[in-house]
Amino acid sequence: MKTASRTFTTIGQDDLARAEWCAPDRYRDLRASFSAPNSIVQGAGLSYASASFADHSRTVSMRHFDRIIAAELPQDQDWGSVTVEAGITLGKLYSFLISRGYVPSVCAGHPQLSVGGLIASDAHGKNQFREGNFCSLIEEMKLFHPDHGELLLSPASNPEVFELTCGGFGLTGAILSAKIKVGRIPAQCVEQEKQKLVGLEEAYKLLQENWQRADFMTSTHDFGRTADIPGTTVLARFHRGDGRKETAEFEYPKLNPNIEPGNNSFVFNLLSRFRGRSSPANSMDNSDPIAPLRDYLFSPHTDWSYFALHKDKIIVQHQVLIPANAVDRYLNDLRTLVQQGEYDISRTVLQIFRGNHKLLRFEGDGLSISFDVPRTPKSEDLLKKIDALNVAMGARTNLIKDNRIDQKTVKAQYADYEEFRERLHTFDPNRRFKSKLSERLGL
Amino acid sequence: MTSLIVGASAGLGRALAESLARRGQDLILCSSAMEDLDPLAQDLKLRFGVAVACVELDLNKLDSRSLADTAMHSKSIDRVFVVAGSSTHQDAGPVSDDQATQLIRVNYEGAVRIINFVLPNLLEHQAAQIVIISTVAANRPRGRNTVYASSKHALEFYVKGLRHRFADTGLSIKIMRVGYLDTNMGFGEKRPLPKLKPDHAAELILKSCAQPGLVAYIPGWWRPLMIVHRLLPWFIYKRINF
Repeated sequence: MKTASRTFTTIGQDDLARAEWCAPDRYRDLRASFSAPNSIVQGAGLSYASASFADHSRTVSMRHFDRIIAAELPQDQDWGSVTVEAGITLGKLYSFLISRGYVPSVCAGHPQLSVGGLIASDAHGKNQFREGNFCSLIEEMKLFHPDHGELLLSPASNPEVFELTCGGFGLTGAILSAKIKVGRIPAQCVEQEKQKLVGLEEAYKLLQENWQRADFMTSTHDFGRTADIPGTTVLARFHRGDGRKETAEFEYPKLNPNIEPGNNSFVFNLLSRFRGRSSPANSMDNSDPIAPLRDYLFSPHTDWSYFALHKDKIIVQHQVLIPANAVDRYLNDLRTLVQQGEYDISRTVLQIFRGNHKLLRFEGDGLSISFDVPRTPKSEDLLKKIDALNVAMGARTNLIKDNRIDQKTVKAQYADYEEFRERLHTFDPNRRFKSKLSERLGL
Repeated sequence: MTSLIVGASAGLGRALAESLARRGQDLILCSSAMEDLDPLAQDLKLRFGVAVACVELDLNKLDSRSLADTAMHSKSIDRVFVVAGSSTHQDAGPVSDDQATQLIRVNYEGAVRIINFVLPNLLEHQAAQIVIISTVAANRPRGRNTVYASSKHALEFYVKGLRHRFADTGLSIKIMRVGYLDTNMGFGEKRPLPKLKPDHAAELILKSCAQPGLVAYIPGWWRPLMIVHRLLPWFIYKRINF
């Protein structure tokens, strides 16, 4: 098994580690690659948190394990299933399913993300309030751990490890494959109802009033630059009156997870620019209320201009889930904090969340608010104040996105922290799978 | 059209399988690891709707059973890609007897036996093709990859002989001298020239298959480099360490 040494960073470029890495393309090599005392699996390597690397450890890329193993996609039922290897990208899976009238019911924002990564982070899409998080789609999966061998995990088989692996940051082992429930869709286009408004409270009210008639819904705002926080709420529904079908394979500008900070500005953005121009994601006319589904699902993150804009910045993405009973007070306090200083906050997105919270997963009932901010001493100070606000209001930070939150804060926000830790150590007393994220959180 | 790919489970062989399936061609995939072939076969069947059969075949330990398995499928084959190869970074001077044996078996002996085995069926087709994946290292002997390059060169010699023998039939022979590839064979190794992604290389190979000529360089810019390399006078060549 050949390995190499390299520097890893996050997509926000706010963390670095020097580690060994390998990208096996055969199962025997994959198993052998976990012979190192400490290792961690990498999917797309595009996380905002340092979840797929640690200093003096070994990162094992799953990129070659990206095949579709089985599919049951009946045309007369609402649900089907696919079994895929964990390294498959959401884009490849989407391309396969859409031409057969199905999609993964939970699509996270970037098509390059891997299914294994979506499970490990229990990712969500623009329809969390309707479909829940990604792990709600997992019927069963295969996990490899060097001390346990290959395990079949499902709610019926090894349910404890199954639960720990869903949203477990890859710390239980290498997810090899997963059987995923997929939904048949009534159309391949969405009709968007856009409403311009002012203020986060107004947006929350609109989201609350309308989520039951939406298939997807978000509200995007300009936060931090103007006092009135203008935004646009988009309520999207499948557009049954449009017979357009997606036929071509899904092409999109690829992000390079191997770029090291300081080296990417020119080439990265130039490539992104030219690739992005020809991508279908950018052909979407924002004034057209009818959009192809994939452009709607993935467009903000396949837009090269966002990454070009932040070419030299170290970005923190902060996402927090505010309990429904604290939203009004939280938004008021947050606005006060942000408007005390001038912060370069971008991509502020509000979403309604529904469901039950468990372990360290980012789920529950309430309002999710996320934003990107360049990591500076000034913004660090703001984020510390927001951490305190989160604890005070019972809000929880998305641990797979915020790469600076410490163990103490997580313990204060997540009641199940100790349970997760204990169960993880019981399953894996030697703690073979480690990342900078797990070290930072004391897992 | 049905293609047999020897060494299909990973790297260039896998990329070729996908490129051929994308073109709607049926496939017979051979590899020593069925656990890698099975998911690939399923993937290609599901995504492209082609027929895919798998044969367990280890060129280092070729036996009558695996040859018989290949024979079971060989009636329909009209194109053979011999992709499987083996190299070691220790191949720079004396290598162990085991390593030398393995390199010769995988790169030459096993490849010749497979081609020889399916040849009668290929000749029954009006148009058939044998494509061997060779290497730019076979261009001129040098002090590294010596057993690997010489065994690939020997394989080239063998198929050139077939080309002469069957010149008046519908059998065509193609030798693909492939440059640096971004596969696990050279993972983490720095090269003086760019590495090619396997899927890109596969597309170039399939384009070359449809063009005249015996030897193709993948990518094509290796050809002028290799001409210069071959023409370098010995008193200069012997001083170059690469």
